[in-house]
Amino acid sequence: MIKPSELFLEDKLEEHWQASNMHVKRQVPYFGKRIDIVIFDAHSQEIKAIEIKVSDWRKGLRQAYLNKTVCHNSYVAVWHNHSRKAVENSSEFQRLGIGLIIIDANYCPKVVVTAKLEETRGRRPIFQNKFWLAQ
Amino acid sequence: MDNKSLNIRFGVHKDREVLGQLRDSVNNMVIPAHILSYTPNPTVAAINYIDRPYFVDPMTYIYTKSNIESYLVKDKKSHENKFKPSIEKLTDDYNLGLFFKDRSYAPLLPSDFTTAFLGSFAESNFQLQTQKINDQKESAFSRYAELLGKLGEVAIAAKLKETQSPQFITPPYFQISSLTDEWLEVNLKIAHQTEAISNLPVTPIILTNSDLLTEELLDKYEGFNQLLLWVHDIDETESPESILKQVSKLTAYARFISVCDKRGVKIISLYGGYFSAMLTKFGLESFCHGIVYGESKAVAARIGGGAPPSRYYIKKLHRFFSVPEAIQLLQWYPDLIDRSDPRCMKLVNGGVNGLLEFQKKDSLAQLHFIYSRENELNDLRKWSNQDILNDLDEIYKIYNPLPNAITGTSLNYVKIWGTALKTIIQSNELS
Repeated sequence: MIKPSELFLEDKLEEHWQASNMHVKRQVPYFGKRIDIVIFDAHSQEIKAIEIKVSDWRKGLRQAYLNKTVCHNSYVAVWHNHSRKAVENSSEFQRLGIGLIIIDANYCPKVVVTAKLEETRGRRPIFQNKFWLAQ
Repeated sequence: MDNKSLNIRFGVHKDREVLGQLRDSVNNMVIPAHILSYTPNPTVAAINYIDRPYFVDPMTYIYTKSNIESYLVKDKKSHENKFKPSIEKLTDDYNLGLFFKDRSYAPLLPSDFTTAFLGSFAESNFQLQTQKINDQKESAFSRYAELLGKLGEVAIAAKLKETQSPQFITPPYFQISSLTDEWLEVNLKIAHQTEAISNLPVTPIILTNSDLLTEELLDKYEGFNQLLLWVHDIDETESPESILKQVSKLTAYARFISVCDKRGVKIISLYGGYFSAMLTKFGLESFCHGIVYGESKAVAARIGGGAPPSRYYIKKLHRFFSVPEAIQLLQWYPDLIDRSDPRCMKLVNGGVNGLLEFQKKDSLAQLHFIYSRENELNDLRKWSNQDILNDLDEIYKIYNPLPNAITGTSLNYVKIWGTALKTIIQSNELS
């Protein structure tokens, strides 16, 4: 099977979440980097950030960890053919509070590790942060 | 505050408001010549608004073989080469527009520097650094009346009356890679020619690599009691795989500064960061960088391209991190927030989340960095050599390695700094 590109996976995931009535933004700028996909769930009022990787889940994990500041749930989405190592390291995802999504052969996202909901911890609630309203 | 060690390189015009706030924190402004040529009115307005002494970087190294192509574009109609607009203006100010056009923008060679050519180039450079600014003053003050009005009427009247001069003249300069490099002879000849025509002190710029930082190089510049130094192969915060190579480069740099100091030659580093800040304790006169970038520069790097994203300076680690990395690092290690300076705490709104505002306002990162740099210099003034080394050891002991989930940055650079400095300290103690 031909390895899909990250852009192709991004297209497919956008379609999937838009069909689920989520508000989806792509390549959201965040201080010189870009978050691949950001979803706003109007029902739960939660913002999810997703970094998409065909295979380099470790890089995705670092990117997703940095995204935690500006979302409620931060995820790495990995193409299923290259997800074995990521799944074997699920405990690392859990420890860091990052969710893991496997993109299956039909380009559907399956959550295997649920991201930890970011608490406010005395900080201004993130969804009130003007940074996101501007997006 | 003693601000004699720090010079700020002017980058983009919108930074002038922040630079005006930082008047008391900086020594000189460094004005890149192409910015002066391309936008003389706002540059003259900025120089007067910031109200600090200044000198000009002639930027002439761009005309050589390894660089010139980066500054050429195709004309839309003729499809022929021409210089980028800012470089075109600079070249016109050097009276070299027709010269380059006639040779299809082939790079300058040492053989081009006949006596007549050299004399003309030195003269044009001198005029650009002196006359241009005074010629543009009335026009600049008229167009930027609102900005300059903040200085007050008395100050404006005084400035319009006085003849402005840079702190010193910097001759045209070209990269040298060995003591037998033909460009070295060109640099020296044009520096001496500039001395002959200038009523101001002349400070040549040496652009070279760390291997060439020797007493023999210094001997070539005999007669000049101040030099600007750009060591293009040094990035002070680099932690390469070959640690020994980086130690060697920084030791060579530090040793050169020490030798120059002993021989009474003042050195200003044209690009430097915290390692250069530490070297002000060992003879470095001062160093330069931009308002949030420019602590190092490879000679092949292009100028232009717009402002890069904001970043956050973590004073305890003596380096920048991207804001996303900094936010997570400061949460992981809360003591990395520098709470000692109320100005810095105000800029981050008292806490880590305040860093998110840096995306919308560049001035926050800029001010935070320069205040942090000022605080570093103040610490260094109070510290003994052993205190400086202890600080570096502590950083490594406490924070190494940084969490892999947050950053791939290695802290090996502090080890490298410590090793290079120990060599100089021991050498100074023995001499």
